[in-house]
Amino acid sequence: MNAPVLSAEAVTKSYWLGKREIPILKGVDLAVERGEMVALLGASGAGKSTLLHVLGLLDAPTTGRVCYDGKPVHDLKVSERARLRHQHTGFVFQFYHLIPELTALQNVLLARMMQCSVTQYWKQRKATREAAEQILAEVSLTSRLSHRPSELSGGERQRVAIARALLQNPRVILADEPTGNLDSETAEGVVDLLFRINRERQLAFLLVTHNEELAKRCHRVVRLRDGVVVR
Amino acid sequence: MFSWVLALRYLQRRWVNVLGTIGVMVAVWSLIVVRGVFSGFIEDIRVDVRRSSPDLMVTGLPLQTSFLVLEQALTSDQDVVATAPRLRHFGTFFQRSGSNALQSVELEFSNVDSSFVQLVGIDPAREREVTPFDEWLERGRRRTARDPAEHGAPALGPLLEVPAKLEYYARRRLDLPVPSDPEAFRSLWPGLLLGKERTRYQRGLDIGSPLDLLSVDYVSRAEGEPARAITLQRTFAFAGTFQTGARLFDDSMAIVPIEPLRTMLGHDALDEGSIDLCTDVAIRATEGLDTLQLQAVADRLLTKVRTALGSPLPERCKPEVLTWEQQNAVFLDAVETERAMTTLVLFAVMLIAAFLIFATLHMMVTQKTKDIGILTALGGSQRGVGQIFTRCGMVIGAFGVLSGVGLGLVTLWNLNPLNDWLFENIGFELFPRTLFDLPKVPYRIETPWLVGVAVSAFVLTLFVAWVPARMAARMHPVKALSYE
Repeated sequence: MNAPVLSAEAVTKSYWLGKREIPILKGVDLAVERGEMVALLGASGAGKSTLLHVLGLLDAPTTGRVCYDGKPVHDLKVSERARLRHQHTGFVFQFYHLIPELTALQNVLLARMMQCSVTQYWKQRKATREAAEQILAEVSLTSRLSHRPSELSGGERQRVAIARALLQNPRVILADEPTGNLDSETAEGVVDLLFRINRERQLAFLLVTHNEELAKRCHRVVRLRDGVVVR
Repeated sequence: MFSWVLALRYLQRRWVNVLGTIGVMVAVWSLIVVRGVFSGFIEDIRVDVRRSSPDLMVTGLPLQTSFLVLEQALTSDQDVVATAPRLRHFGTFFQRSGSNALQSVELEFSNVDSSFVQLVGIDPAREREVTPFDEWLERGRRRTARDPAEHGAPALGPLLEVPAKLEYYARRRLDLPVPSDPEAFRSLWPGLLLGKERTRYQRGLDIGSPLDLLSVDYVSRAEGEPARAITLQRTFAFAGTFQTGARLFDDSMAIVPIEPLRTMLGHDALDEGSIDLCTDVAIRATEGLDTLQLQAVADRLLTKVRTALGSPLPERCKPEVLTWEQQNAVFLDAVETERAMTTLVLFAVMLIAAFLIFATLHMMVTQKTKDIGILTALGGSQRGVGQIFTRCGMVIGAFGVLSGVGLGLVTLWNLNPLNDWLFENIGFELFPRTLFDLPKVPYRIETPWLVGVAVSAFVLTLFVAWVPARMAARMHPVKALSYE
């Protein structure tokens, strides 16, 4: 039997405010299977984003385990976590988080540059560029390759961010309220795109959202309340 | 890879970084130019000082020291090639006007007119053996037709006397007794040489013009009797000018023949019991000795001098044998200190430039906090994130250093035309020649210094870039992503 691409086992996370411990996650168990689209619902402050950061290895759990393909990864060294994040996970944020100095194409290419030396990148530059252009075409941005983020609409920016997350062929995409900053019509387009990618690429998604309608379209809904998963 | 791409993009989009580059460029440029001029200046000074000084000088001798006693002791050393006596004294000059009335001669001394001079009595024949005396005279020769002292290098005999004809006509102008036949006249006044610059603005001081020296000395008439001051007076003929190039020497000295000075001080060669009075002995050592070897000779000679002088030496009498560098130590050290201080100040300029880079990069890190979070989320390592900012510093430093070095070299190569152009068009001289007293502004490009400045400036920019880079690398990705 295949192990889940991503799983959390009894994960807790606390922050310290002076001498006061503030627990955010209180023993979360979660597994995302290959090709599965999971919605993570919860009120503000429930710990959704914190869980996403812990699962994406941006933050370490206080206790518990995070596993990629069944292998524990939460206690790896910082550099190994960075390498794994690059190979295994893609991020899509509510506020797109594109680099304003780079064009749409360069923002996507950046994902490939992260773990490459100049010579390594130089050898594969043509193939990488073609792959990036193809992905941008998939998200209908062929005509926007050389535009900077400031010259793109919100929906276009989010599609660039999705393309960036896809370039490295990750096993799972962690999306933190990907439509939270978009109008309903544009949001609909972005959601359709995510589902299409999920379908075509058999890519796992963990979608953090407040949107019940969106959650209903996912394969599974996980609700988080006060740091605990509720059924 | 991403660190290079982002570093270049960040720099391209933030023109404030040009300030850092300009700061480094200006600091490197000024360090190269000012140091280059100082080095050229010091090299010229050392050449001039070297020309004005014998290899070694015995000084600090007791009063009434005979040159003969020392000469024997000194020439016994294998590294002593020649010796020459010197007799230092002091006095004030007066010039006769047409009616034979006296007026003081105000000779320029460091921009202040003064009739006071330090006399140095020499034996011209022996002096030529220890210093480039003829070169002093040649350099001091006036070449401008309008200059009243344009008579070429003086014809100098043992008494530095001027041609008899010149003294003859000078005497006639002053109604002094002369024979009716000019051909029968023989010079009576010993000659006197003054520094070229000191007589530049002196009108009516022609070759052969009499100058009356007034001085004092302390003598005791009998054994045990307390010494008392007596005035001394002697007429010299202005015999010409000299120029060693060492301004302090040229401005303060009047060169006279040693014998008349000895006579003035009570040691006429014809008197019984007189001695070859001297206050110093100039020495020429074997060619090619370096500073340390010369110092070793000086140490050896000091022992010989002490032996020759006998013991006990008078109280507070401390004979010394000084190398040419020690003879001018105060001046050379002062210039060297000035160079060091200027270099220090310019390094402070470099620090300011470095601080500017630090400030702009620190600001960049703060502005780019969110980008740091994104890059980390995309799989960027801490090292890679930090490298964005060290590479920014690297580019700023490289541009600043290369442009500073280039500009510095171009400035030095065109220093004199640039200086002239500035003076002609703006009335401002970067390096005033009158201050340096040199025909052109000297410079010297020292490759080790050039490399040292370039490397240290580059390392400094890397260091100041490393601090914000470290801050960026250590930033927590979650905090960076949520930064507003």
